[in-house]
Amino acid sequence: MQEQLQNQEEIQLFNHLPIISKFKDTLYGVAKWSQIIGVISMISLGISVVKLLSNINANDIATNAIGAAVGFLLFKSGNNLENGLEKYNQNTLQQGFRYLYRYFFISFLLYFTIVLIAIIVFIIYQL
Amino acid sequence: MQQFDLEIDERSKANLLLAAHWAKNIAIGSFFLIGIVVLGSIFLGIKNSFVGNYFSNSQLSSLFENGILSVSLFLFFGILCFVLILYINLLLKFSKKVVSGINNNDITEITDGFRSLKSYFLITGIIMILGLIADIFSFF
Repeated sequence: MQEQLQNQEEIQLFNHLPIISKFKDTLYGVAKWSQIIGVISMISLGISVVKLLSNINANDIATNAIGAAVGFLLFKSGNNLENGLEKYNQNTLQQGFRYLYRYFFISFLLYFTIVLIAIIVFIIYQL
Repeated sequence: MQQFDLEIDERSKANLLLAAHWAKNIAIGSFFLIGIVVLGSIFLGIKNSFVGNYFSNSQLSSLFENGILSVSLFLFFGILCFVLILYINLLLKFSKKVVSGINNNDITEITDGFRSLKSYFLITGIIMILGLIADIFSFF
């Protein structure tokens, strides 16, 4: 009971400090757009699958599958950040930041692997 | 300088620093790639090696000879590069501000960093929404 009360006080303090409130609003914005990007990337994969099943040319399915995997990380990050902010839960916030780090790390690996392959293909094509 | 010991714990700070590190790597790599593309375009010569040959048998070739279309193309390419640099700069700004904010224990700087990340995600989101709409329209 006492812990709950203390937590309530902390939530009130957290919401009323203007600087913290600004930080919270900005992080909410990041969380919201992360979730939007994640959902769109998964919808794009869905559209590619529907195209494939409808015998329509779906060349972009591999790209969209990679995009959806990375987008899922971003969606999880946004979801955890939002929940962490709403419930003032440090563990959930930590998870959100961890997913954000994983998103950037995997994006970096994928991005530069693709670029490296493109450069190698270009060099081979030129030779 | 604003203190925020209560709000972000050590683990979150560590994860944020890692996120900022990889975001910075992506931004620097992207700048490098833009540089390569720009230099490559200059050395190869868009007009002579690619566009000129591509449109050599079309009615557009006369426009290229007059230099109207090639100038427009260079202008478009320059504006595109500029916009791309601004877009990637948001990621670099996020990285710099978050690292500096964590090191100085300054929440306003971290907020600025996250504002840049929000703008970056907002632009990405809008581009993706437009792409999705185009994808849906490709069905019909």
